[in-house]
Amino acid sequence: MNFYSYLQLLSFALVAYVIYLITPKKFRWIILLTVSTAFYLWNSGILTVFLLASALCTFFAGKVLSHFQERFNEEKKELAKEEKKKLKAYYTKQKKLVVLIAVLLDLGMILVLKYTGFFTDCLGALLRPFGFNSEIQPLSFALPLGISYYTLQSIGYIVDTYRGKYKAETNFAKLTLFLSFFPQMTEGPIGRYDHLMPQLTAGHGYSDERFIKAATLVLWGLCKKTVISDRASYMASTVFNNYYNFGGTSVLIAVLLYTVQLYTDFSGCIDIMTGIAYLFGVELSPNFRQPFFSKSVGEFWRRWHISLGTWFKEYVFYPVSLSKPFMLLSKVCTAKMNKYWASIVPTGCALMVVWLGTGFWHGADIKYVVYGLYYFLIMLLGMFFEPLFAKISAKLKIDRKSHICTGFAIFRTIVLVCIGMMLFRANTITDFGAMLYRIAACQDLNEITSGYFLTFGTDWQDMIVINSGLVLMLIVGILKEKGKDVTGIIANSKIYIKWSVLMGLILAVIILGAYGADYKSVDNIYAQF
Amino acid sequence: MEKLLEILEEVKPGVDFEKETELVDSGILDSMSIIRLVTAISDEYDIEITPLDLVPENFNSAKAIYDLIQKLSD
Amino acid sequence: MKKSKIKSYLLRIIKLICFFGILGVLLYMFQCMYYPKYNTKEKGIYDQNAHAFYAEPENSLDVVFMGNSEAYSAFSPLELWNRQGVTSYVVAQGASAICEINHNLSELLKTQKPKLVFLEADVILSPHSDKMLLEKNTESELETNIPLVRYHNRWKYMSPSEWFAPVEYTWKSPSKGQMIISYSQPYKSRELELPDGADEKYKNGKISPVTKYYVEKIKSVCDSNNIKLAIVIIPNTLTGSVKNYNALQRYADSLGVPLLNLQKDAQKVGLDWTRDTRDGGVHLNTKGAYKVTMYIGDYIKNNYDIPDRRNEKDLAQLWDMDFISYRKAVGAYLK
Repeated sequence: MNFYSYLQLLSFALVAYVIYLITPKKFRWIILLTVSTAFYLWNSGILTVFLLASALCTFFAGKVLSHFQERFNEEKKELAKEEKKKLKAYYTKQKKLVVLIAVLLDLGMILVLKYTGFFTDCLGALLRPFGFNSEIQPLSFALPLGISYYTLQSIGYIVDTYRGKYKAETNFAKLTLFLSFFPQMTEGPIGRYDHLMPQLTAGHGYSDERFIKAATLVLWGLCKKTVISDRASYMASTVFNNYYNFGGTSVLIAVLLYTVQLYTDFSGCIDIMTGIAYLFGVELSPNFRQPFFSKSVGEFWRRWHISLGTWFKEYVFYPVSLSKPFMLLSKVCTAKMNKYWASIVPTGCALMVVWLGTGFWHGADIKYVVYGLYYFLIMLLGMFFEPLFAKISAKLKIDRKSHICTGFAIFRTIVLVCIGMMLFRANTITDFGAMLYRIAACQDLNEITSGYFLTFGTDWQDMIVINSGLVLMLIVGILKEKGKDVTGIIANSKIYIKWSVLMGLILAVIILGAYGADYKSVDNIYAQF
Repeated sequence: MEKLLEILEEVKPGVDFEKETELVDSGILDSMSIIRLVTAISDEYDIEITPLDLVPENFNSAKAIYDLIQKLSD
Repeated sequence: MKKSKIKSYLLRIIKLICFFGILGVLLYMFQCMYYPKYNTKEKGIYDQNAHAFYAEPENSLDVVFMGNSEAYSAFSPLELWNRQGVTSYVVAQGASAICEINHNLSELLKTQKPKLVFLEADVILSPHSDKMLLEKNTESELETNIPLVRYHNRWKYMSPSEWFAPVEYTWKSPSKGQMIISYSQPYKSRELELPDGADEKYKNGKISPVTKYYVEKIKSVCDSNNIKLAIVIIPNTLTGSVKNYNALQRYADSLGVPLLNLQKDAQKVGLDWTRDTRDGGVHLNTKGAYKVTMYIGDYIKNNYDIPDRRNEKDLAQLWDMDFISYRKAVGAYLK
């Protein structure tokens, strides 16, 4: 989405808000559903049919699962303990079958639409040594908006109803709203039914505080995207697409700029969507929590794209680690290895499944799988070396909670994350390797001192704007880390502070935004998933 | 309870499990430690823990974990 | 109970008005600062070629040619002057959204009273989808009505002396808005072959409602200013198709606007596509422009009452001088 699409979205949201407010409270959720449907149709046209299919599948799965649960509760009343166990096993089997079918249908859609090209490539690569030289054109399909997000959201709902976490939704329209609520369709966050549904149907009205908080958040996100992210993108693209023409220092700066671009793009968009949702009284689950303050890669992934990490934890990591095969594996390990290894090996295997999945979710390319494995390896090594580090720091009497150690940990995390980002953005894995080599071995400070690096699309004035923006973000980040509700503080401050902030942000977007004839439009990175 | 504290100490050394009441909320026990804890516990006490049980309330303190074990042993 | 509610609503409305009032003043101030003060690309103006008419003496232009790159490649105002003393101008910018044309016409009418406007057809036959056209034209509306949106990036290039300097658009186009391109890249044959146009690429001869809205706006501006409007098709390989041109004919008829189809009349115009195009059939070159202008000149003579202004001494002197410079630049090529 470029700048003008955001303006379109905001005008749309405001009109929707007015209609929402004049509707009686009871029916406001219907307005949300209508508006979300209109938004989706405008964006995806005929592909809406896939969202509908997913909604139907999810709705019926939930209903059947709840139905089985109720029947079980009825029937078990009369029975003895042994019989109860048999009945439970029977119903569990039935429920598992329903979950399997529903999840396969949901996953099936996204696997076909998003990953067919990847699978045919893999198949081609596997068969080539045997002489099959397929001339099959790689199939690629247009994707319905947000398929990677709403698919996970529906699977989460199905599994939750299987687990009996809550009763299934009985109203198909309400379930569709849960899956299609328009602010979450472009880049998430991936929501939970029990968290989201009550808010969607509550029909909150207008409040000054809520409106100002929402407006501040939207403008802040818009600033991050158009003022910082789009600006940084030009140099980053130029270098990533032609890294062989640049010295190591320029490549390094491009990697840093790309990290800035990705963070401000993704978190900026999330801020805008969260702000819009907040207008309607819906608090979407947070997706970012000052990720660059993390002291370890593990912590980073609990602060970056939080809803994705949480989803994988709840619906992949826990079920996999607690499944019978894994429990068996851990028993075998306990028997055959020492206690320490016995606890690491099974957890490590489950973790690998999570990271393969996370990587694969990002894109139909082997590069993303390697991306996932990269973080897996770092975390595995971290787990592995933890007792050693603890011993060493105890012996050397180093306080690991000191400022120096914390600072070092944060710096190390940022370096590791930037390398990950480089892999994420590099056109191929070999490009990534070549760029890494350039940074390590082909430094050319001349490109910096001569100002050459400022000619790749991001000039010195752009750099000043980006860096000032980053400083402002750092201040806001520190406040939030200390637990301050920044938008709340602004919304409750004196009128001249409120107005200065809002006007300042509006002016920043209009004047400093990287849009218009001088700038090519830059698409949201995470909207392609 | 003694045995539980031993297991906790092995999974995450250096933490005062008798006093802490925000093990999950403050990040002392992350998801991997929880799984390691759970595998050890289900082995030791011969109980079946499901993902539904893996909520912060059940793991925020040693007592909460002990209560969970008692509940699942029935 | 009610009184305090009314009071609070009133207060809220006053606050809202004050907020937008102050914001409006600030935006206006920035707009004045960033607005280009001179009409060249160097000094920041958006599309120099379509903003070159400001320095022409008031009420000196009787005919205007408007459109996109087809228009500035196909008409020679100075040749028209030399032939029959008709003062004309080309107000066109490349790849323009039709909204820009409407805007430029309004700008032109602030200092000029043309009698005849020719709208080149390529802007009407744009191959973009309705959705894309809506977006492009909405952007254009925003940028032309709120110049700050168009010029906001100038903070990078301006010096403080420009901030509150007066706006003085005194740069003149030496060729009256025509883009002089004097080389040729031949098309495969003397005559231009157009496809039937029954496929998606040519939009199957459909004219977008967005475009129609703007054409009708242009027509109503012309009507209320006593200006005659005519549509001219300069054929080209990008958007030209039989279906398109037929659709345009029907549309022009429905509006009561005369249509000059230079594909149909190619022989009369004398177009030779092996010599008259600069890029293999997409745009005409100076030779082609000369031929088209001669044809249009006849058309004007036979259908409209546009005065011969060679008897207006001061005006004629300026135009004659411009024509001499023009011929110096391209004369040899035209032979």
